[in-house]
Amino acid sequence: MRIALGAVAAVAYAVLLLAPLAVIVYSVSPGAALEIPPSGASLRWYAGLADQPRLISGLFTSLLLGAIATGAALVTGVPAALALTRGSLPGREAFLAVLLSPLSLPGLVLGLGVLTSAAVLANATGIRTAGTLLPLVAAHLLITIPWVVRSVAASLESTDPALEDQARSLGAGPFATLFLVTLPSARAGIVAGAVSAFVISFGNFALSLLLASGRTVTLPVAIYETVDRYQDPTVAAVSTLTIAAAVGAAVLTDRISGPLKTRDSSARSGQPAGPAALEPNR
Amino acid sequence: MDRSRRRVAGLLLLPALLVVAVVAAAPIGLLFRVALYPPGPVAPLTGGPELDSFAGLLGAPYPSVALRTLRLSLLTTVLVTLLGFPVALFLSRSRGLSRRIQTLLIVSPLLMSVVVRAYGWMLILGRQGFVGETLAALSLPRVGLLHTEAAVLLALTESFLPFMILALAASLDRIDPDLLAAARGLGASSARTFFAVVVPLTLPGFVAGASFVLVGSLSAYAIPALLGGSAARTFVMEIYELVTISFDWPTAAAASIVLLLFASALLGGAALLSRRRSARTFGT
Repeated sequence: MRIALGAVAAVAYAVLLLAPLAVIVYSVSPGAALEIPPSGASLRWYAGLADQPRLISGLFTSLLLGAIATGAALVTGVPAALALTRGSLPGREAFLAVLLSPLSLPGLVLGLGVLTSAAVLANATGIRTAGTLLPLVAAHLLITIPWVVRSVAASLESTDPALEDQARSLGAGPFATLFLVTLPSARAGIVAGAVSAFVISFGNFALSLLLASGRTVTLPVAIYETVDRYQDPTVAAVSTLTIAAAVGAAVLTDRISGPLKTRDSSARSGQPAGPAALEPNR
Repeated sequence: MDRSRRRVAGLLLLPALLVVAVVAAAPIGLLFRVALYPPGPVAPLTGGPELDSFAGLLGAPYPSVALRTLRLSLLTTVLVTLLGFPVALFLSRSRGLSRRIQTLLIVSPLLMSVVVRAYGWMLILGRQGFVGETLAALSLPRVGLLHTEAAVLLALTESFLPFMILALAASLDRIDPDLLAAARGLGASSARTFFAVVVPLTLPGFVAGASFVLVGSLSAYAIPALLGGSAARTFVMEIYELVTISFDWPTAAAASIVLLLFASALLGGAALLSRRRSARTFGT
């Protein structure tokens, strides 16, 4: 029985590995055409990235967008997580559902809504946001906040509020308690939430497609537009870099949440803390 | 004390709620309004309000495209469940390093852009891709699977498999081992224990995973556009072309509203189902 399950699991894991592997192999191919069997390996397409202004600009746009969205998601999401876990609010579940709802909305539809709103805003007030990062930042903020909220709330829930009461009774003010006791104890959740938020923003495609134009074209959109038309291993090279970053982020969140998992409640539920515990959208 | 604590909590919650209101609720409300303008190529967004754009969705090509989209989503959900359940069982029975490595294998793809993974499938399935070139090297006829529904189905299955594995594994991990021991102690065979105890207890995970996969694959754009193209047009691809090619914003907005309502109904139904189910199981 266990062997049969293991065999199915092995097939499934192999399927999950196939697509990224194909990109990596093509990125080191010596020529533009794919060869079976390969006649050698070369890093020329990585060097060739320098001559691809669209991909380079996309890379920097995505890095900038991811950094801004993550920062903004932390500023809005961490207080929200605090309110939800420590605020003794009525209707807590409903608020959480509202904050997480953007994750189950179709990305392209949301993008169309934001695009329409930007057009209406420009008509009504003359404030033109087309061609700026603003619509993209707003849209990415919407889908990164849920990751921060869930990760930080899970972390706060697994720490003991009695610790904060003790700090208060020892004479610490509310702010000292917050910054010296509460937030440090949720450190793992904050870091994991920030990593997830950045990764989600960096890789998002559906939401960005209608909002990105000219200088604000993000890397996934630039990759999409290139692979739809040309066979070019340079795209495979830049894609390989993002694959490496994704694996790095996965290892990082495992390192953060792994040790944590063995002593807090997430071990009981068996769900890996960090990105896997959440439900990302496409 | 309690009231002031609540007031502070409300203030802390406000910015995040405002983002949802301004960037999600208001734009969706606006789409409702845009859908009420008279539809047509390069629609001027004046006149109305009327429901012609919704009525237009009943004519070609939308019903057949909607059916194909629905079929692809259902098939994806079935395949992901059939493949995901054994994997989730294996994962939930693994411990230590093996479990950590498996989790890494499942989570890493989720952190990669869907465009990059769709690109990988293009490289594998194309006529000049890995499959085509391998066939040619073996002097077999070159077959290209790109731009077929099968290619879309394969890539959708791969991209949603991790979600289903994680959802089912979460349910499996919550099963109390004493329950299984009790079933065995009462004389149930291991097959009976599996079907009468384990499978029903994974239903919440299945409902959560399946509704997410259904809605997610209905809303997918990159995979059908890159791997299916004109051979497997989906509802979201139609919306995109209405916006960028025919500039028919009222019809695009109407189609978006239909998709949103359908997705919300699915998710709402799933939530209701799991609530009623847990009420019955635990007698609350």
